[in-house]
Amino acid sequence: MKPQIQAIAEIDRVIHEPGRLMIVALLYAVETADFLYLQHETAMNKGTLSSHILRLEREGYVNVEKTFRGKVPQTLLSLTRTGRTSFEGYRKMLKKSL
Amino acid sequence: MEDVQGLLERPKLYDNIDGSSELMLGCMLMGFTSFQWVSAHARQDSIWNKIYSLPIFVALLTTVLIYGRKAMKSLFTYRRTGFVSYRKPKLRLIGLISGIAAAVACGLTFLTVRRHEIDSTMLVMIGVGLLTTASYAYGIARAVRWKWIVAVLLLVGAVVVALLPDWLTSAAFSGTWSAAVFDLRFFGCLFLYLAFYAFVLLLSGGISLGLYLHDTRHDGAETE
Repeated sequence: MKPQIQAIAEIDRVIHEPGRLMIVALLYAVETADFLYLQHETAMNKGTLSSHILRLEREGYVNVEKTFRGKVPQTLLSLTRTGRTSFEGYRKMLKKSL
Repeated sequence: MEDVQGLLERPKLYDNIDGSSELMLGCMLMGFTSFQWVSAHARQDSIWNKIYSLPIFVALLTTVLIYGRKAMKSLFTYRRTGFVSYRKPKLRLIGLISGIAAAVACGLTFLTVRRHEIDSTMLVMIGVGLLTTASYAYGIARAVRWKWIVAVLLLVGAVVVALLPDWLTSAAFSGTWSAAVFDLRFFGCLFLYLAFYAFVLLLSGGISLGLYLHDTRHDGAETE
């Protein structure tokens, strides 16, 4: 098998899904961001966004922290070390295969 | 891949989504030019011209503006489009090289101006104009298309101020003690440009804030 074809086969499928790719790319550039920010930037509805975040959390890519801003509940999200490494690997792999 | 790169840039562009960066910088410059004007018109031995006045003024102004911006973000922005905590920027080698190159360029320009007796005020004003326009274009205008008009306006403003006649640029400080100490044309040009820059930033930031409040809505409930 050609190395380029091999690279496509090795792409991280969790990150490769467009919705999750958006979330991971947005979180990669920041320390933390809240749910509302991701909702605003990705234009996804709450349900879809929640399900993508849940999947990323299960894979250990995203850290979810429930907190309060004053009296308002707030969900803070950040990429874990695994999430950052996987995203960097994904970008490298994509560049290689293209 | 460009789309992914665009997403990586989004949080940086979000910083001024409510015009707060421009408003903060505009207030800072307006405060600074006001201080400059007051200290020039006050007596030379007054409190405005003591060596400690400017650092205290800048410290107070900066503190007020930083906390003011935080309050603005907390009251409007985070409730409408969410909270973002930025990663600490790393000192990049390219930034260091650019800084050294800029310092060398400034030094060479200064030497050329002295040797050939060129109108240094005109040159400095165009240099300042280019610098402010470039930093504005990189930091703010690339996020919002209509702000390129503001960037062009800043450059045109610098050239216009540099071309103003001496009597007009020195009008703000003529008859003050600073007229005897400083080059009045240079001092006046810099004052006028900074005041113009502050006014343009406040106007642009105000428009951004107005548009932001108009285009986004405050849910008021929990964020998930």
